[in-house]
Amino acid sequence: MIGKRQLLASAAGLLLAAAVAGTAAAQTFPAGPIKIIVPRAPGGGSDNITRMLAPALEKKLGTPIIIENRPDATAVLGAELVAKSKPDGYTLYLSDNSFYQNPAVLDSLPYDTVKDFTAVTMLAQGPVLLIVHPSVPAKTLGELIQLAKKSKLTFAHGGIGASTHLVGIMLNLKAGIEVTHVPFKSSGPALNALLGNHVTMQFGGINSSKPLVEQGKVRAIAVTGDRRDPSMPEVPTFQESGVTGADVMSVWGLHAPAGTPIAVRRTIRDAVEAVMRDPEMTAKLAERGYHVLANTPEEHQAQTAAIVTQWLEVGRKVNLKE
Amino acid sequence: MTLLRVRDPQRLLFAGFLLALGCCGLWFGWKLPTGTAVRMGAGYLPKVLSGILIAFGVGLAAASLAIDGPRLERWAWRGLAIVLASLCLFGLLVETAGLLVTTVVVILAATAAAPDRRWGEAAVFAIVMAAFCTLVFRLFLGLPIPALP
Amino acid sequence: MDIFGNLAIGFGEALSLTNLAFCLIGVLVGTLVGVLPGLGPLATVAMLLPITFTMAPVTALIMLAGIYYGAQYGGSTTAILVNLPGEASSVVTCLDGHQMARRGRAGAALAVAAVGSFVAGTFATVLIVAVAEPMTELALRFGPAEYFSLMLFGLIGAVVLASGSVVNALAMIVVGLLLGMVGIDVNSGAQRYTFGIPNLAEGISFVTIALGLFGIGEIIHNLERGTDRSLVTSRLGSLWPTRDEMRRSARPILRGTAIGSVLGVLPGGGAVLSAFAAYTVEKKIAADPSRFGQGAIEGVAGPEAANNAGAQTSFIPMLTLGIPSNALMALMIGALVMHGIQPGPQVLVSQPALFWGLIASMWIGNLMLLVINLPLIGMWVALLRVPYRLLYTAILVFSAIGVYSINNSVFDVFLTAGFGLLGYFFIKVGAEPAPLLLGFVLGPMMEENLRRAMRISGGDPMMLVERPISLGLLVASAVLLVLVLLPKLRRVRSEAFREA
Repeated sequence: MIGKRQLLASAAGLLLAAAVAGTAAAQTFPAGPIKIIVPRAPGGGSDNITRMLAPALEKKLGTPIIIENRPDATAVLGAELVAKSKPDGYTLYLSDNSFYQNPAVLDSLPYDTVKDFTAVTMLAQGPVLLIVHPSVPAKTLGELIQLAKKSKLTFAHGGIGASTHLVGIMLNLKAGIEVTHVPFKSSGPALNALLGNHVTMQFGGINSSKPLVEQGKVRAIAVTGDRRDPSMPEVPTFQESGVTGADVMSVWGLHAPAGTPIAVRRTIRDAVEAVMRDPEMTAKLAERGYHVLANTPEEHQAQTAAIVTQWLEVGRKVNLKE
Repeated sequence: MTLLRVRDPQRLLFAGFLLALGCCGLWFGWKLPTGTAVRMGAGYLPKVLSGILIAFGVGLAAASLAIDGPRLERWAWRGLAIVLASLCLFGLLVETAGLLVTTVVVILAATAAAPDRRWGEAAVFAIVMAAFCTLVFRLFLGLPIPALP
Repeated sequence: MDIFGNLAIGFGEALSLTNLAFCLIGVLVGTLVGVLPGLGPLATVAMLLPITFTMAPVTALIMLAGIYYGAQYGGSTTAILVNLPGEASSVVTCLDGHQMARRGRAGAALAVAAVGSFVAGTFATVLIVAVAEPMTELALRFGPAEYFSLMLFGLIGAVVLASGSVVNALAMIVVGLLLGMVGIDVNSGAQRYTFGIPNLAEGISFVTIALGLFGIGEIIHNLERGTDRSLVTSRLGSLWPTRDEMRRSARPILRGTAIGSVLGVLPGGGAVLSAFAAYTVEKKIAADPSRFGQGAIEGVAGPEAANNAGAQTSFIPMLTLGIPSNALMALMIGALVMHGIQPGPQVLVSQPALFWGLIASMWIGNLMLLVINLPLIGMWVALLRVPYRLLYTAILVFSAIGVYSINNSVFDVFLTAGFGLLGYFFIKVGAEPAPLLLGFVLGPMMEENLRRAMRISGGDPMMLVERPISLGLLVASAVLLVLVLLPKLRRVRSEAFREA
């Protein structure tokens, strides 16, 4: 008969073995090139951040990083590919807003956003900036909302389901106004339409708008987020301007197929954090509108579920598809 | 009974294609919201365009019975099948077999379509091409296609 | 503005040994990816981006820009030699360029394309130096209403691309428009004709259609005529254009340059239109339009010049506003930002060496391309002597790799095979694919902008005629429609009379 003590000992042994095996796997990882699937075309926000980090990550991890673009408008193709990959940490997915919002926006997905993936880290967040053409009389968000109640206004954004579109929807919802949305394929053409005074306002990234704000070609009204953006400290947040709950951030995360060992994910995340916390890199990323977060796999796992749920709730209130 | 003689078979075939495409366009686009001319829905233009295609199809079919045109040439089914099959072969192989093997296989397969094929020459050419493609696309341009299986 | 002072700064910067070297590397790499069908400059630039982080910003920009316009030169080579259009603008070059090659005049076509591109590039560079600001103002006046009218104008011009039946050409435009609807609707986010296939969400990629309809269809058609001879039907003539060919190309080059320079500034798709517009103009004002489609050198010279001028002036919105007019420009902006420079109106003042250095390097790069391309013509033409039984297998493999590399997608390869079948069918029934492609490219942009305009105006169609530029373009479209249809109507009538 096996004694209680023996049982305990063997259990402890097993645990120890598992722990050693885990560390061993983490120590030998990475033993080959790591592939990051970017679900967007080269040149976009998601591609840029990956390509900015890749060279430093290669050095840190001592293995080549291969960036593979699998672009489509909803970022589904790349995600599906990763969901079906081996959960060994050698295939990662660069998740952007679409990844978290797709369950609320699309009718069906070939994977389960929460169950088929496991989180590595939330790389960075970026605020969304509301700008208007200088000919618009409103100087603050309050005045703009008053104006919207009296006359027909339009806002340009970078595509259905993009963060720039969703901020507009949330603002309409929270402020009780009906500003007509005008979709563009990306934020660049949307900004063009604003500069030519073809629309009243636009939601976009800080980096591309900042020089135009400084030149007086457009006027900044408000920015999303809990606090003001350090690169544009004079622009108030939406909350300061009296609208709460409209804050949507652009987000970029890293996900791995479900079942990827936590030790492997920690190794990747630690390398990412070290690379991103390098002051020079942080500054470069900030310049481009990426605010470094690099939280732990556990934190991002909870965060992913929270964001997905949040959008599913919004989707029940407003039609996100139109 | 020369009333319904096909005078322009090429045009009739083209008309058939337009009709088929127009009908597919209507069938698969039926559920899309139509909207109005000033407030177009996603389905407005697809349906209008499908309708125009059907109109073109009907008109051209009628014309093909009325106006003389060139004869229909023979179709080269063999060449057609081999060329398309070798393209598909590339698609099936490239991600698993790697660029080197795929190139050799595709070139040899495609050679079968040439009436004056010379297998020896084609084999040499296939190997040269495989080396060249791997060098240029994989090593020089760094495309993410594996060179070997 | 002190133009000469600025140019001196620019050339001083661009003529440094490092910058010259990287300019050369850029145009060489660009030429290579341009020549290989389907492989665009976008993927190459994306891959080279990390390397540029170690360079000075101006050097990085010079090299990336070199890849961009190097690819423009390279693309026309493939179009002329083997009838493979790698991008929308090369479709036009295929029409007459490849016919010239078949008649043994490939050398002349390539030379005229290179010279035309160089002249256009030079002029466009001067334009950027002198009037970048007012041209930006012009571009900003184009809102959704104006773009809609411009696209409509382009679509009517598409009829001119066909040399055969007008009715067939009109039908093919509509086919192209319908194919262009595939994918996610930008205005509502609805999926159209995607059949639940995520690969189709972004729409059918242009390269799959173009390579399928032109390249693959043509291969199958050639095979049935036997492969015992090389592609060229007649004896290879002199490599260089004859005096007569030079004379006939001069004016089309100038006209193409002017058209391309203006359209290139419009970030909403103007650059795509430039080559088409130039071809339409040449064919409409030609004394004998029937030569077009049979190897008219004017049909190569005008569009090639327009294409390169447009490629050059499409830098203007990026340089003056910091707004990318295409994905490639977005990558270049990314490269600048990595160096801590946010492109925008302030760059001109804060970074004059960078701004003017890039512009000066464009001209130098064009000169390099001319010098590189002219001696290469001999080599390209020699390639045509490769027996067709080998050549077509190589074209197939290159096309397949090119198509695959756009999205790293096997699906696109199968799609290309499907369009190859369609291309062969079109040859068999006498329907020309060029109008289809123009409809495919312009259709989605036209729809997008029309619906945007209607959203902005609150559903009032009068917006389209109340805005002067839009009204002007609509009137021009009407005039063009009459011009296109009149001669054909007359011919149909005379045919009808003969029948009766």
